[in-house]
This record gives sequence, structure tokens and C-alpha cells, in this order.
Amino acid sequence: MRQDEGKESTSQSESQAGEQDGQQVQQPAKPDPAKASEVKKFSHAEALTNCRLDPTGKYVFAGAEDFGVYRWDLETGEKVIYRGVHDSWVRRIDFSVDGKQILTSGWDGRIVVWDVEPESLKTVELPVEKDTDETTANSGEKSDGETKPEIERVVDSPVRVIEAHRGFSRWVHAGPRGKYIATCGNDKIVKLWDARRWKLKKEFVGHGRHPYAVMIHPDGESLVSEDLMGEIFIWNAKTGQRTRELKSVMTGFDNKFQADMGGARDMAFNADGSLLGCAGITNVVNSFAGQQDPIICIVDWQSKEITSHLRTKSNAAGIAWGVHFHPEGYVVGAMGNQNGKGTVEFWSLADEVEEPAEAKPMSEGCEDGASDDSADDKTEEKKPRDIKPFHVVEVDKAVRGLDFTADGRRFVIACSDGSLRIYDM
Amino acid sequence: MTKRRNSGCNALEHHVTRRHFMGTGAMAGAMAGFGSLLTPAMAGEMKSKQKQILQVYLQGGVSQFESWDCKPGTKYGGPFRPISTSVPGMQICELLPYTAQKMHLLSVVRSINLETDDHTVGRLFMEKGRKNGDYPFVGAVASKYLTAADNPLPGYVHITTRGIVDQTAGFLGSKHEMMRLEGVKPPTNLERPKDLKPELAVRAESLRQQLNKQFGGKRSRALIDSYDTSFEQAQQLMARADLFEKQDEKELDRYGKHWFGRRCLLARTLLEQGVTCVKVTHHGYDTHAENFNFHVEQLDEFDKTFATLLGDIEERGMLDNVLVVIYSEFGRTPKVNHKYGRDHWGKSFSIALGGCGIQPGGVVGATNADGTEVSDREVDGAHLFHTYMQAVGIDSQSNHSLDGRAVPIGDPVAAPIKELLA
Amino acid sequence: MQITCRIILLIVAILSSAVASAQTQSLRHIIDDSLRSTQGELSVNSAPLVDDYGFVRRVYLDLTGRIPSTAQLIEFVNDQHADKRELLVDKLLASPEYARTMQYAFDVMFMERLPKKHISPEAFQKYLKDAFATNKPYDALVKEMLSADGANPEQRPASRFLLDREIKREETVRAIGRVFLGRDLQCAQCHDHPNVDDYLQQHYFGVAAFLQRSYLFTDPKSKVVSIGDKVEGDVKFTSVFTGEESQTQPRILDLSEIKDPDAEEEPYEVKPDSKNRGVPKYTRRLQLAPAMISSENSAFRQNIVNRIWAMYMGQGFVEPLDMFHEENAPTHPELLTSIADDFMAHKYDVKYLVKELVLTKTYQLESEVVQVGDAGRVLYLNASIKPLSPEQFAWSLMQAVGVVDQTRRTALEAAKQENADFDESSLSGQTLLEEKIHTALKPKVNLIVKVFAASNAASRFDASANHALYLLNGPEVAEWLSMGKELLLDSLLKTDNDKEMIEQSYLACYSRLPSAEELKLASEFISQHGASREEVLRELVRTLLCSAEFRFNK
Repeated sequence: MRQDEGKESTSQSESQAGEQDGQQVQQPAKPDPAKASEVKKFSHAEALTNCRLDPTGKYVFAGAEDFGVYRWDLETGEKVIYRGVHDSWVRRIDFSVDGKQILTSGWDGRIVVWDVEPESLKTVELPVEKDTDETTANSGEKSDGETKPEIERVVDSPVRVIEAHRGFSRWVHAGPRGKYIATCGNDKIVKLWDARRWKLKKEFVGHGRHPYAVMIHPDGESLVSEDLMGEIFIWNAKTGQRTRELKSVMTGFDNKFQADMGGARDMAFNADGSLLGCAGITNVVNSFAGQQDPIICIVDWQSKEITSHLRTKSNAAGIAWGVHFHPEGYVVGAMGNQNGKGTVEFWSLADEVEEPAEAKPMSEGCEDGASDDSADDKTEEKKPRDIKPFHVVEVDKAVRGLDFTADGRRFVIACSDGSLRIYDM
Repeated sequence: MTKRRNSGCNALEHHVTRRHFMGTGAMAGAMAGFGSLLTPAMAGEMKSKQKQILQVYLQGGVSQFESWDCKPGTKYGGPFRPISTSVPGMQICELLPYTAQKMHLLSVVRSINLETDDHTVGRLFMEKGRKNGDYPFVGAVASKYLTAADNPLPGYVHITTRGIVDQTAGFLGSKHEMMRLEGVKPPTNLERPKDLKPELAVRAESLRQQLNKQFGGKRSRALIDSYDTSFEQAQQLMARADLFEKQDEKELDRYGKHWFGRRCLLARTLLEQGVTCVKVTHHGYDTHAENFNFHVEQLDEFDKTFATLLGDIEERGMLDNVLVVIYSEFGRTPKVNHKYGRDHWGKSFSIALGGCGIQPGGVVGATNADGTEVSDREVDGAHLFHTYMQAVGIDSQSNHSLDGRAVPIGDPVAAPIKELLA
Repeated sequence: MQITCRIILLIVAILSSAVASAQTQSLRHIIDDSLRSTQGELSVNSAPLVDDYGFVRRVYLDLTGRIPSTAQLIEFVNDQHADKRELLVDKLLASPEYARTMQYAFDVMFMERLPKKHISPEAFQKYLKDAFATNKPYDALVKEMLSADGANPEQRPASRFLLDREIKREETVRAIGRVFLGRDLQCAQCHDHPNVDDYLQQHYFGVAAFLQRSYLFTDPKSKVVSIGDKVEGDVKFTSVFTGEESQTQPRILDLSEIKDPDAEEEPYEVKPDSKNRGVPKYTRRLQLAPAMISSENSAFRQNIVNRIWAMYMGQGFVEPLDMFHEENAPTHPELLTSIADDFMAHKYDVKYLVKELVLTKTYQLESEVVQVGDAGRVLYLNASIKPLSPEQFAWSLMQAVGVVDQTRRTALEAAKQENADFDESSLSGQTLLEEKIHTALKPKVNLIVKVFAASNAASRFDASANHALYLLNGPEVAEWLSMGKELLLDSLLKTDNDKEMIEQSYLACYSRLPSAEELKLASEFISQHGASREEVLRELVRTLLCSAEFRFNK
């Protein structure tokens, strides 16, 4: 995971790929997005909301449109349910830095800490009829991981429950050095917690609308959060001061229905923290019908500027639900489209700008997104580059979550039909 | 095919032939016109006894799961939790914390089935109490029967932004047609030319009416009537330009400075001044995608503002005479789609209502455990229409007298919801 | 029963004669006969023909976009020719004002007042005006609009229909369906239409497939945006109800799919990349126009005939105009078909069609409603009143108060100064003059259109208090009704004879003389005390302008 390719990928140098090839010797064949293929599929009766692979790559965790969090063993397919504490949906999962605990944030305002491998599991017998038809409804060949539970394996005793936010807890992120945890919620407050005792260290107040995600920078010095209005705030972790505000295009006012929609649906830093990716939407046409463009904004951390807009290949309406920096230096994103399908797309930040044809409506979207007064001169002179993906994996359902193993050879996606799919590449 | 359209025929044509709307003469009575330019002071007296209606229309179809009929932890329940209200035992969605504290003033109907998932059909059914036919809207009927003859204000005002052009008065005539205000800003050109003497203006308006009467007398009425109405409404607006004076900042702090806050404050002013039916639209509930995030945003805006308005109406002693209804054209599907959206659902949804003649603190009807259908006391737009009418003292089971013919005010196949009537 | 049989027989007879002797019987008679036969015995109750005053007002509004000047009115009334109505129609159809008013009407029909994106609306409007001035066949006009890619500067204005909708599927397919096929397929994009059984997803996506491979191309140097095309991209769609997936090649409604030719090794004339606009050897988009205007596609000609009919008759055979479908059948299906076929046979000659329509008896009937016992409403026994379009209203307002005539005088002086040989009776002279007047008054027209345009572009009439407030209190009307500007009020006050004054006011505003009763009413109004003559006269005119008779083409 801690490789240096990320840093290189920030460089505008076009010879980057070549240099990388020269340096990399330890692996016989690199992961190849073109070879990505589904190797396994797990199913759940309700739509999944997100997914994460535990750092060892043994388990995959997913939230669902019920109150449970689910753990599958990638090898055996055994399914374990974490429940009984959240009484709302969990839409974000993170791991403690040692990888031994999962942190789940729920729309009930809670953050719950659980063991990845609890000492004991409860066994609950299920009434026969419940949900059986839906759990078995998946395609025959790749369903080796499928569990057909007549019994459920249940975890219902958490390590800790934190009533973190008044209003939903939307995000939790365990800082890279293990000391702090950041959360945000519908009380519009970003909070920084002591990771050991869950003492509140600092509150960051200033988002005018709901912040959707917050990440601690790998250097531990600062935090970044993004709200519904596409405002990206960078905070000094020590002083609590807001040091920078970036106005992104990741929002829009739906004129017809008179409401705003936007915000980060996923956020990620690359390994060395030189780049930040924010996944979400732009160019709102009719968000009430899901008509807007997915987008991933790339922020250059040094200059604190939005340098690239990653666009999907098809420009299909939808939402970018996942962003991940691959150890090979490219960016991977996950889309849930308006038409019910999805994609996983791969962008090289070194790529030349493609298809200026698409650039026109997009750039108008920028104007829509930015309010007049904050559209400062800087964005005028240095417009983010539009980049198209170099590879796309089509998925027949909307994708809502994405995670990779540390070696970048395997990824997992959570889908709107309740399926969790594992790809190797 | 048949399931798409309502085949039940209670067409107005059974009572009146079509020609009466398109043809001559029949509507001449509605042409009495608006000649008086009363001053605000003269209007002051009439406001107290008159029954009034406040409609808060959540346009697009608010989700019953996310408002009045929570199903926490069930298959379709969604992520939100119920909260307790000021009525022991009654719970509503956590997105409505301020309204929850006012539920002792309201009742909830959880068992509405309109058998349509179409915006227009649903909206017309909820307004007319009939699924088809050119019947008048709630507001137009209220305007006709509740407005004192000498009330200089329009009987039916709708504060909205979007231009959904419904014919609201039907056979009651253009005098009772809804006046649409686009938000709270005063209309442009509201002031008379300075050099025009008021007396001359009154005579000119009277001349205009005479000219139109001559021209319209022998021609197709619908267009001419609606043109006429636009002048009547202009006269009313000019006479009451004071309604659009700058809104009080302190009051706006209480109501919220967003559009909905400003509109609700204007609604209070209009009710206080004696407008019979005030309809305020809050947009943005047609949540085919991101139902949950949108409901967080929209109901957050709705909740505090509405609770403030309801509180003010009560505190000022007006609630005994003002029927308050919060409604949509339908609810939203139990099933959450792949866009985190809920689609159109007229089969089992809820509204809330209170004030004037309505038993507060009650819950009428129920849906089944998953909210997929009505399980008890099914009602539709017709029952609701009867109930509103009875609450404000209009006998909905009697008739409009139309050109010598009797047209039932409410749909005779339905009756008021008795348990709601105080 | 007997009557019904007779009507059917009559229709059959008329139709067969229409087909057999289209050469011999003119369209105007076919229309009148056909309508009379559907009215059956009730046709004897038909309203009388409108008098000369009424006719000249109606036809000026319809063919030149404004009411006549008093001079034009009097000239026609005093004309002694037996065929003076036809002569007037010919004269107006040849005038530059005809092209202008058609430009307005078709601009709104095609573009629905959409703001500028890539093509200036003025350029598109000029393109339309030229098309109607030269009487370009309607199918040729549509072919140009649906084929232009915006790359060729000469054809660039024609590309506004597609380019300014940015060839976005939702907007463009919907517009094509509504404007050219008379069918609002919008709801059919997600599922077969919920209310209309014969709007299918395949219709929506069939049209979408023509444009699926097109994209907006920005020239890297000039930054000019045009339409490029690729050779791949297919249309698939999934019903939200059944989850079934389907596919379609380009097609118009239920006509057959248009298959791509066999792929060539090098499918491109110009390969699409960041610097070059893609130009395939075979372009799907370019199949749209021929398929649309093809004689196989009866929806195309029926739609435009329905729309043009509605412009002159006040109502379409199908209403709303964009809701052709089985359960909303035309009121007169055979007649619509025969007019549409005749229009095609006349090579989509718009002036021909318009002339035939306005010379029907049906068009020339009085608009006072005819009562025929309990028979309900019988169509076309009388003319319909038609709300003036915002543009017609603006020009008529300025005509009535004298602004148009005053501007004409100024323009004529200027033209004569520029060119001593200026001939205002020649077509080129008239065209130049019209252009000058139009340029001078366009800002005012835009202002009034902004107030009066319906919030829903598809709606032909919208009345709101804002309209009334504008007429009662707006600054323009106040200015136009002031003294010392050589406008209407000045000329009215030249006499102190009440009757003459009132008659002049009526002629200017209503294009007719007042009845005795009206004269009395107006006399009472202007003789009131407490206000000056100027003040009361101004209010008299303002009130005429605010009345329904002025707002409608009666």
C-alpha cells in the first residue's frame, strides 16, 4: 500500500509511465485493468450501500438498506451479520489502523466500533420462509460464495457505541497514524476524536449545509471535508481553523424542484497524500430523476487546487459513488447510473485531455455550480482538465461502493441489487 | 389500458352539457365583476368570523414513510426513525421535529388510496374530490361560499413558483379562479400612473367590463373569462399593494429566510387580511432519485417554517376558523429503487390536517406492516373533499345551483370522514 | 341513423371526388364541403360571413401579424372589386410582413423561446424569414434544419434546432416528436406511455437512435461548436416496469428500421479526435431528415397541417397539437388526411396552403357563437376567436397607438435620403422598409413578448394579472398614450367632435366603427366631469386596448 507511485502520478510529466516501468521490478506482471473479471459474487436480500475490504484482504464488509452490516469471508463465503446497535442504514465503513476493528457510521447518528473477528458469534435459527428466494436469486456459475442461511451468524455486541452526531453520522475515517478519527454528520459539524478513548478532541464548524464526507490527510496535520454545496473545506487539525475553501462543481440547484443536490459520495487520498479524489455529481439537470453527470474531482494537495475532472466514458447520467487511487498510479471510480446500470472506470492522470467535444457542456456546468461571487479569477485562468477513462468495466447494476486489496490486484464492488462482486485483474 | 385510466364515470357532463361551458350566456352570472376598490381599513372587520383554509401543498408527492407513516425497521421503512409527538402514542418521522411538537393541533389520515400514480390525476383528485370532470377546486368552492360579498380580496390565492396552469374554478366562474402569486415579490407595474385620477380609473374599469360583456356575450366564454379574470385580479392586487411591503426581518428570522419561509409569512398575512383560501406550495418532493437526501433537505426547510406558521395561527386565535391541510398528489413507493429513490405511489399514503372543525390529535386509518396497502379505513380524494367542506361549514352533500340545475358539491358516492369532524 | 348514413355517404363521395378531381376542385371548396357534410342538417345554422371590417382585421392579423392601419382598413372597405378578398390575401402573402409573421410563428414552434446556446436566435430568425419570403417548401426547410451540422457557416443558422438543444437526448427527441410528428413521446423514454397506449418506448428510442452517434464538437482553434458523428453507438432500453431490454435501429414511429449499410474497412471520411470533427462515410443522423419528410411518414404532413390549420382556424383537428394518438383521434380524420395529402401533392407549398385556408368560407365566418338547440357544440359553424400571439399583440398595440405608422414615416424618410430613387411600391423597397421598422421597434416587441409569453411555451394563451398590470400601468403604454409625440392621441384631439373622436378610436383599436349603443357608452365616458379631455380620451383608448376585443382575433 505504501508505495510511491502516487506521488509520481501527480506530475504532469508525460514520460511518467515509462519511468515507472523502469523502477518496478518486484512483480512479474502488473495488475491490468483490461483483464479485470468477476471471480465471485455474494448476495444479500436488500440493496447494498457501500463496501470495504479489510486490510488483510480476508473479509469484505458491506452496509445495506436494512440496519445490518455484513461480513463475508472471501474464501469460504461465510456471512456474518453485525446488528442490534444501529437502527438506521450504515453508509460508510472504515477500519482501525491495526485492521482489527471496523468502524461503522449510521444515519442514526451513531458510530459503532466492532471487532473484525469477534471472539464469539451467536447462532440464530431463521424462520424458514424469510427472504430465501431473493438470497438465492443470482446467476448460477459464479455463486460459489453464496450462503443459503437457515441459520444466521450474528455479532450483536459492539466494542463501543458513540452517539457522534445529532442527525445522521454520514462519515467516519480512521486517521493514518492511528491517533485520530474524523466523523461528520447532519449537525453540520466535523468532529475529530481521540482514537483510543473516543474523546472528542475538536469540532470544526463552518459548513453551511450538510457535510457528506471527511478525511484526515496522511500527514495527520489537516482534515478535508466536503458538503452538499460542493464546498471543500481544508482544516488545520490542531487549531481547528479553516485554512482553505475550494468551490467545486460538485453540486447544482435543481430549478424545477427548487432544491440543491451535490456533495462527496466518496473521498480518498492517494498513499502519500499528494492527491485527493472526491466522487459525486455535477451538471445537475433534474436530480429528482437522477439526471446529472457523475464526476470525480482531483485536488492537488500542494497547490490546493482542483486540477482534474474525471468524466465517465459514456457520459451517462448518474452518480460517482466510489473513488480509489490504485498503487499503479491511476484512479479508479465506481458509478451508479440513472438507468440502473453501473461501471468501474480507470483514469490515468497523465492522459491528454480527450474529446473536447464533451468539454463544452461540462464547462457550462462549472458556471452553474459556482456561485458568481466565489468564481474567482483563479478558476478562470486554470480550468481543471477533463479526463476520460482509459478503461471501463461495465456492470449490469448500479455500483455503490468500491474497494481494492492493498496489492491492487483485486477489487470489490457493492451493487444496488444486493450483490457484492469480486474482480481480479 | 383500463387500469391506466379511471373508468368510473362521474363526469360533470351528466349534470350539465358541455355546451354550457363553451357556449353563450350560461355563465353571464359569473360576470358580476369586481368593481369595488375598498381600502384595507374597510376590510379589517370581516376577517374574524370568516372560515378560512390554509393549504400547504408538498408538490411532487412527499413520502409517507418519511413523514406521517413511519415503518421503522421494515422491508421498505428506509433509514429514518420515528419520534414522539405532543400527542401521547402518536409518532411521526424524525425529519419533522418541530411539527411533532404541534401534533396536538393536527390529525393524520394514513389510509388514502387514489388508485393513480399520475401527478395530474392525483392533484386534481385531491383538489376537486372527483377523479374527472370540470369540477372546482377546494379553494374555488371556499371562495364562492365562504367569502363575504363585500370582501375586496381575492377568495383563493396560491403562492407558488411553477406555472402549473390548472383551471380551478370550473363552473363557479372566473371570479373564483385561483390567483397565482409568484413568491412574495410584488408584481411589476403594481402602481397606477401618477397622473391618473382614481375616480377616472374606477370608471375606466367599469367601461372595460361593459365592453367585455358586449364582446363576450355572443362568443366562446372560456378564453374571454380568463382574460377578464386577469384584470379583476390586477385590480385586487393594486388595491392591496400593502400586502407586498417588505417583510419584517424579525419575523423572517422565525420563519426562515428561504423562499418557503417568506411564502409562509405572506400566507399568514393573507389569512389575517381575510383571503378565504391560501395555498402555499413547497416544491421538490418528486424524489425518484436520492429520496432520502432530498427529504432531509426539503422537510428540514418545511418543518420549522410550517410549525412556526401553525403556531402563529393558533396563538392569534385563528385556528378555530382556519382549516389547515398539508397534502400531496400522492405518496411514494414502498420499494426503494436503484437511485435511492422512491417513485409515484397513490395506493397508500397520508396527509395531515387540523384547525377549524377538525378533531385534533387523531390518527385515522392505517396501512399494513410494510406500508404497501391500506389496511383500515380506506379513503380517497372524495372523502377528503367532503371532510374539508364539512369542517368549514359547507354542506358538501348539498348542491351547487348551476343555471337551474343541481350539481352535488361533493361526490355523492363518498361521505365525510366523520371521526375527524369535531 | 339515416342522417349518419347520409353523412358517411357524403364523406365518401367528397373524398373520392377529392382524390379523383383534386385538379378541378380547389382545396378551399373541398374543406368547406367536407365540413358542411359532417355538420349535416345543422350546417344551415352556420354563421354568416364576416363583414369587410372583420375580414380585413382578421386577415391582417393572420398574414401580417398586426391589425391594419386605419388607412389600410378604409382602402379595403372602399374597394369595389368583386374578388377583393382574394386580391387582398394575394397582396398580403406577397408582403414582407407575411414572411415576418411566419418567422415569429415558426420560431416559437421550432424553438419554443429557448435561449441562445451556440447559434444566435436572430440568425435563425433571419433564416426562417428568408425561407418564408422565398416560400421554401416546408419539407425542404425541415430537411435543412434536421441535416445541418453547424460546420458550414452558410447552413449554421439552420442547425439551431439541434445545436441549441445540444443534441441532448431528452430535449431533442422530445422536440422532434412534438414539433414534427405531433407526438409527445417524453414519458415513453422510461416505459410505454402511461396514458397513451400507442406511444411506445420503441418510438422514443427509434428517434433517439438517429442521434445516438452524434456529439458536440468544439473546434480547438475557433472554439466553434458543431455536430460530429461517429460510427458506433446503439440504442438499448429497458422498461422500468418489466425490466425487459430491447434495442432499435433508427426508425420513425412504426415505419421500418433503417439498417446501417455493411461496414467499410475505413468507415470515416474524417476520423473523430480532439482536433477533428468526426465525419463518417455513413452517418445515421443524416438519415433522419429523409425519413422524416418521406411520403411514407404521414405523421409528418398531418402534424404540420394540423398546426397550420390551428393557426388560422383557432383549433387543431387534434388538440393538444402534440397529442396525436388513437384515443385522441382528429375531429375530422378524412379531411385532415386529404388536406395533408394535398399539401404534399403541392410540394409543401406553404403559401398555397395558407391561401386556400384563409379563402375558405369556414375561415371567413363570423365568430359569434351559433346556437343550435340541444345539439351540443358543432364545430366550424362559426369562427373561433384566437388569442393574439405575444408578437401579434405587441405589433397591434403599436399599430393602434400610432407607433408603427410614425416609425414607418421616419423609416421612409431615411430610405429616401439614403437612396433618391427609393421606390416604396417595389418589393425590394417594401422589404427594406419593413426591415427598418422591425429593427427600430424590435426592443419594444421583445419587452412585450417577455410579459405576455405563456409560462408554458406550448400553451397558446395565458392570462395573468401581470398582463393586465402591464397594460394598465406599464411605462410603454403610458408613453404611447401621451401627447406631443405625433401618435394617436394627438390626431384624435385634432377634432373636438365627440363622435368623430370615438369613431377614430374604434377604427384604430378595433378596426371597425362603433355601434350606436357603443357610441353612446363612449360619449358618456368622455363627457364626464372632473377630468380633462386629454385624460378621458387617453383612458378611453387605454380601456379599448385592455378589452377582450383587442386581445383576440375575432
